[in-house]
Amino acid sequence: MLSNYLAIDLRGIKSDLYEYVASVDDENADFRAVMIYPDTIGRINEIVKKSGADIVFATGNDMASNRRIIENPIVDVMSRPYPIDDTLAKMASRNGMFFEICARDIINSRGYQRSRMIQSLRRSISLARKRKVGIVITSGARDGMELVTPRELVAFGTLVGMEYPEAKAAIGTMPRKILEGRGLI
Amino acid sequence: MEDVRHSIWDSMLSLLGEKGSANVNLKVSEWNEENNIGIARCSLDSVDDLIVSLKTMTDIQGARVNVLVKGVSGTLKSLEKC
Repeated sequence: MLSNYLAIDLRGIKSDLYEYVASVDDENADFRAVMIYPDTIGRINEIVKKSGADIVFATGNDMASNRRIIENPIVDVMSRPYPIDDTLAKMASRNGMFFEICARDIINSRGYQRSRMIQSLRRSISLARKRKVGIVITSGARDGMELVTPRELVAFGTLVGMEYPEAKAAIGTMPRKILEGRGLI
Repeated sequence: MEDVRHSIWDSMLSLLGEKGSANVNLKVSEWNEENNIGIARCSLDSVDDLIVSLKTMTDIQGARVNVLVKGVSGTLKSLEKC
């Protein structure tokens, strides 16, 4: 049943469960991704050029750095897309930016931190839905012990307030749009 | 099997709380110790909650684990095909 999903994992490890996989760490993956962390936001262009990555992720931090990420056309996907407001969501939609829900972040957090993360993601998803910003769900896996199946990714989507078809699109149609937009497939 | 059941309940209580866990109607009906494959039954509305709870279960008795959902089905017979 699981193999019937034509899923794409934009930040995971190479596996038969997925049609295409992009990865930050795994060299066997189909495409290379690079992750920009809040402390290196000032050097986005330099890091991306140096890494030669196909897909660019940037981690959200506060409103100011989130605005810088959303304004930068080089970034494809914004990871941890919170805090954002309606204006930022509108800008993200205009710039063709995607928001990422990473299963690994939810798995590895506990208690208050996880609760706040789910709460923030729900708010971001609601804004993204209103402003038609694309959402992708990724596993964030770094080794075989962190592998997440496509069906499980859909379940994570529903946890953060997505409808079932919406969550399925977030592991299929939306990542495909990013890859096609970059001319990778 | 008891260790697995306890770990699933711990993870479910942590993620869903007592009320949410009660809605799941969990029953671990089968567990094969040799190849570590089992069947967990739950209410239809709580399938996704159970899947996420299983996924957030990262260790059993201190040993690191990764639960993979091989299939979801309404009948035990069709589960055998997964």
